[in-house]
Amino acid sequence: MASAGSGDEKAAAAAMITLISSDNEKFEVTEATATLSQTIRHMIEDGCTDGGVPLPNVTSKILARVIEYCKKHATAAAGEEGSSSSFSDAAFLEVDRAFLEELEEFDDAFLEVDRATLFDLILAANYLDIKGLLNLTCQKVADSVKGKTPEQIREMYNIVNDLTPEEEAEIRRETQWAFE
Amino acid sequence: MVALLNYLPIFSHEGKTEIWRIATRLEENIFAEVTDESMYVKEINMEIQSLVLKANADIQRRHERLAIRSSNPFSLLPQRRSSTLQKQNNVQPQTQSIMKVGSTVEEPSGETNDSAKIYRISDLSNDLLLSILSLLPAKEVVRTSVLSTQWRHLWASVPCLNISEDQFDVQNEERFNKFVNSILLKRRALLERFCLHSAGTGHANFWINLAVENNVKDIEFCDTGRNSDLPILDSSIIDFGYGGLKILRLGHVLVPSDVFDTLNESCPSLEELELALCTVEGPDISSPSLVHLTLISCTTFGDLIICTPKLVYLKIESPRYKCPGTKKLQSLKTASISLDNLLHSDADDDEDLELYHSQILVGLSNVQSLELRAPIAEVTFELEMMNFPVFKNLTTLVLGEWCTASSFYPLTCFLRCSPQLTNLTILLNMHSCEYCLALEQGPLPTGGSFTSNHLQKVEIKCVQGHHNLVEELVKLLRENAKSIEELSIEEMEM
Repeated sequence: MASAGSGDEKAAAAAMITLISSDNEKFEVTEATATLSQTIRHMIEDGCTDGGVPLPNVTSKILARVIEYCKKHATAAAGEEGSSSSFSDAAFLEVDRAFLEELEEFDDAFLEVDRATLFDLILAANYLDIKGLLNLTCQKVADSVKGKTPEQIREMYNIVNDLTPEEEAEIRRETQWAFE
Repeated sequence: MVALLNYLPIFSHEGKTEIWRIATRLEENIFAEVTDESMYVKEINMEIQSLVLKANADIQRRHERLAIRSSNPFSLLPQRRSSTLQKQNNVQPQTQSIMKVGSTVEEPSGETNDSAKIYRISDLSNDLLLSILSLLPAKEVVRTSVLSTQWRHLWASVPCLNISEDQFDVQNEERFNKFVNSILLKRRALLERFCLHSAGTGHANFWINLAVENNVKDIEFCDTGRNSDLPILDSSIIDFGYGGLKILRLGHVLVPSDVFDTLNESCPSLEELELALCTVEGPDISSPSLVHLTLISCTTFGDLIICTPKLVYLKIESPRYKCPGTKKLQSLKTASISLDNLLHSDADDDEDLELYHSQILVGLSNVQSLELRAPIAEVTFELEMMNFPVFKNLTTLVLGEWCTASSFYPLTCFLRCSPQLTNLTILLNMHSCEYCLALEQGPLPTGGSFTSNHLQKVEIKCVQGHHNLVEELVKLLRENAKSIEELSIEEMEM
């Protein structure tokens, strides 16, 4: 059932995996898309994906977004067939450059989400072990913090300051070299 | 110094000779900072006490840090899924309530109305917080220590340091030096990545070595060029062979041959080397583990030979004076060499064309995707035509305008010697190399025919005003490659 023909000529390309979200929604994706997740890649290697892969930590809303990301980036990785190296995105040839620009645009648009969704994407990327997505989403949070004062960061991310004024002064003394 | 010696045996008993080196540097460091003897002794004692404490906790800490490192986005794959999984289970109900609220909340002002809307940055595991901190400039990382108790010591465990002079007042070099010294000596985790953009003074060599002694895997050092001299990477200070260095990126430094000796012979984990605006003293790059090599606007005075058996990606752009040669790159899949901005030497004995002969193509014969760009008449590539290999795996080829010389002779050479070629792109910016034109090189043979059975897709991109050339090119391809299914011509902006 999972490998029902999709019309693709190559059998390998047609191999489908079913992912099941925490709210029991099923998503059919190609193996190339699914294996961007190291977690799922290992499951496939261990042969335990028959009947679908339950992902109890990922809601359908987030899973749909994650799959959207993986689909786009799987085509990018496809050029480097069989390569699991971290260099598959390398902009090497002139002919690849346009596609990489397109990929960057996609990433930018993909990150246009509210912070709650962004955090869910981070958690999902971490759980599914999708390095590119984890890096992308963490970068977004890092960028939002960049150049902000501690007060602004606390407010932005609702961090409760549980330090006494004395403790805070002590920390500032200890790390004075970073506050100059 | 006496005070230091009194305490040193504590470490040397453990047989760690490198501790001697660290200790000496610590001492130098303190010496540079203090003003009188009593303060000196006091500082030394403090440093030693902290070292002893560190040493005791070291083994346990290493285990912890290894786990933390494994989840940062630059490192290898995370292995701690079970713990994060639990974490996520805990926060799941909250997640759903947040999603019901909708997706329009972006401003901090809207965040506090409803407790369900809390952005859970503190709910992220420390591993994930460290992943985020790894992407921030180091100065801002340390400043997060005042956010709350949870954040107080987090900065000291961040596995990646991004230190840039930009974050500091360049007039106040001392403050910057103090910052880098402090963060390197006071942090408590193994270092995964060390990125330093600063004026390449003696300090930089020292800092890079401190990173190496922390078993750093990934080093990026870029001289900001504030001091006019090209800084030298000093192999007497930095021992690149110490840890498991995997990635090395250098910008605007002189890399002497003894550094290459170490990289070639004593860095069995080195996979990626990127040099930009560097002066490279050969004679070769021959690391047996290197996978990825990039040389951008690097200067070589003599011959530089690249002979790295595991190399998969090679990129050379705008070499200065001489393009490096290649030899036996049997794993190579993708290579890109652009001589569009090759800077020729002004030497007087230019008449000897052998000077330009680098044997570039010979080592590339296994490549699958190849891009070779150069202006018309570029001698470096034209000389390669004399010693042309068979590209038995080549499927994708990109050539610049140099391939149109002598009635497309270089192009026909490629088509004749690339039996598997399916995709061809020809980029015609129509620049020519005035320097090479003046060399009065003997003419290439002209034209020639070829038969290509696999070529399917051809793209020609040309600047305006060269209709005749493009027409000739299309005619040549159509006559000799009947297999072409798709041929597109695009006019580029000047």
